[in-house]
Amino acid sequence: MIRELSPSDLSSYPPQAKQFATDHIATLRQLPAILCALLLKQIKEYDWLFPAERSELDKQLQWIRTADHQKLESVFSSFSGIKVSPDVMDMPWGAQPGPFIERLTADLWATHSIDAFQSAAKNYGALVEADREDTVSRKPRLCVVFIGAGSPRGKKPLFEKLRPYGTYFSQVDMAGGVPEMVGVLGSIASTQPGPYQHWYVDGGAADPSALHNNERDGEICTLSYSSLEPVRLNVINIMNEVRTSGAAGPERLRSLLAEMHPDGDVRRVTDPVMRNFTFELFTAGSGTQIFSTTFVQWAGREILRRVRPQTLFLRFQLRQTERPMDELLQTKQALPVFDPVGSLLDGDMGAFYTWINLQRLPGGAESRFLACYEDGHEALVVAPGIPRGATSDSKCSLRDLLQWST
Amino acid sequence: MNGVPMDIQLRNVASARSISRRRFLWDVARTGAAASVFGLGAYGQTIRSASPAKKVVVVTFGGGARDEETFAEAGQQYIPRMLGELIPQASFFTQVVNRGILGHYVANASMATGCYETFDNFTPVSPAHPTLFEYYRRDRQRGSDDVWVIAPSNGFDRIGASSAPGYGSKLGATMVLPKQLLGGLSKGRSEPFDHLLRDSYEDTSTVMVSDQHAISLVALAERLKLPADQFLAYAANVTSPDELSLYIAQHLMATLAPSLIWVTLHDIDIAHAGAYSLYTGAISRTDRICAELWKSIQQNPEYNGKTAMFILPDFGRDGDFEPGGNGFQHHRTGDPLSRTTWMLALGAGVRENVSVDRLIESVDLVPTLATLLGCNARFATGRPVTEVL
Repeated sequence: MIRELSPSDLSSYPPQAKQFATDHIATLRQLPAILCALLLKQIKEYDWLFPAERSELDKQLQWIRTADHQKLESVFSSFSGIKVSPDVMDMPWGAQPGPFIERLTADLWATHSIDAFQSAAKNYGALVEADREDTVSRKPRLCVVFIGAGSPRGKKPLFEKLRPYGTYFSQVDMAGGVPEMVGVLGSIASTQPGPYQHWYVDGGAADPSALHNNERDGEICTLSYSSLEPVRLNVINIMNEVRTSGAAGPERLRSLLAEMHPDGDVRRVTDPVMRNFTFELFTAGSGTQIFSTTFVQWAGREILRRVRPQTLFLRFQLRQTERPMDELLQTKQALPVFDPVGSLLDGDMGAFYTWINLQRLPGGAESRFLACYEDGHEALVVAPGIPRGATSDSKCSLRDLLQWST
Repeated sequence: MNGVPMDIQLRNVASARSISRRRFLWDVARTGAAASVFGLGAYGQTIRSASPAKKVVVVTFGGGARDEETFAEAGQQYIPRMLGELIPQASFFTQVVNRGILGHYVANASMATGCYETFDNFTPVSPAHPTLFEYYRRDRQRGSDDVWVIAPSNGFDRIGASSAPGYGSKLGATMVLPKQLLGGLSKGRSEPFDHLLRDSYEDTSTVMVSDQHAISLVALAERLKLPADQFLAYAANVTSPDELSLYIAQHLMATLAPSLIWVTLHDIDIAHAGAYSLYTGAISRTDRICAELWKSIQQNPEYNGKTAMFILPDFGRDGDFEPGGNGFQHHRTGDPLSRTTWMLALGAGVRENVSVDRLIESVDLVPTLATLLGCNARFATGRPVTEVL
């Protein structure tokens, strides 16, 4: 007998999450336990969700309430049919959806049910997606990625994976590119204002022109690896405590990090949603604690996935070299030694992944995407009206590229 | 919903990958190689060494490597040695599917037992089914010096023997964990070997070498006839733990010449830290290690002409376009690309310049090797790969 979701399950939820779940408990009770737990895991974070995520949750539950019965049944039965070990289903999945999902995942792999689960989840996602609208804006998004600050050009061609989708420019004047992009971001933000709609993520220190936008000042959300050092070190401390205790393996470490919420280390950030998001970039992101290139790529992914912003500017800078994990996970480190060649390659791949993540959003095909080698003259533009698989050797500026992609 | 639609998708992707890999081989190897095996008739046109293998070396191209960075067109830059030196001498299997749990220890254990093991990847347990090492030692009445496993230290220390009734550690392989060996032998020395003792980003938990274990490490070094100073001098000049594994394998071949050596490489798993350049750098290093190992086999009279070598990844990594993952970084989605890899077989009794397009599974390796080695993998669920028998 699978336990039913009860109001008492929600008693430990944060205030807004509790209210939201209570308001929708009748709808949630209709769901197969696995699907319900997946939704509850997200609902439990409601207090720290971005507007786009809250709206998405609302729409999902609304869709479930009003969807065609046959359609719903087909999705629900695919979840109900998944074989799960009884001791997993005995867990208090309503009160603790996070630990339940972790146990469930391990069980699905062990019982070879993971494919059935993936299939059910994809079915559900496709149905919800078909019903989904872009909640914030129908204007085409702009995403700009700078790579290779401080890296020598090397011989490997840049933007190889992106070239089939856009035009490669070989003679772009990138002088003053970063302040110019921050300026472009500011000017778009002033004409298209909205909470969390414009982002700048820097893998080193943020450009001085953006420093006054430390949080959401001026409608630009700015994150830089340098300014987040205290948060990063705090997370590293926690990782070290767990990994050297000998009492917990990697899964327990991940669970511990996933259950955590920020304390005073992000004290300069007053917005709880931003504070939590920033913290999660280091607790949920793999490798973000040690490599700035990984941080920028992961931050870009999470911003696009969770926030669905109007504009996003990512800047990859140098990451430190690979060293023993014991050293990388020390909070008191000597001055870092950088890997300029590797950082450029990481940034190149990061740009490709950012474009993929941009394409996944509603209206992805209409969005504008630029990837630029900051210390050189190469760029790649993917946008409607820009030829695919083409090359241009004409001299041009960053502003030209932005204009042509509009 | 059952897993059937996913299985069809997996087969379709594996098949597409197979075609892509074979086309690539035709283009790149330019050996007239990659004569594709569609039927038995093709066999006669290829070279096959006369004598069957008496010894077997298995290398897991470790830590999860994708097609994109190995045998797909874009990946050729990272595996020059396998393409230039090994492929022309090998049978290349273009569709190797792993249907099990995509965690490194459990996947490697599954490859060693020929059954999809289902234990928690991060739990220190032995495989439930007998390993190839136990089948071989029991059926052929071989001693522990004849079967060796060289593995990364974290979590893999129980891969050499199962918990199956009638089998177990008394019949298992002799395990060498090169990082622990180095840690033990370098105790009290001034040289820093920290760069080789690192553990994977996926599992950063600290591995302690207890005093008791340190003693057994010394005993192991003696059994290996390992000159500590020479080993430490070598270690001081290499950059990765997998290079230690190469050293141990070469040393073993030169001293004890065992019949079965299983090397699990793991550097590639740095991918979990999200740095693409480190991931591809590790693939190139692994490529070099495989080529060096093959060279050692050919240069050693105990092995040359008597040995079959098998190289295969334990599994792939998530596809770039799989929404549930983050591309090369992890292997968590179970998507078809993360389950589909390849295998190289070369050496005694193996046809050269052949690619085999039919789908095989990673659990097919054990029954195949058991046939080669003259033992019975009676509990393995995989099927022998007839193309190398």
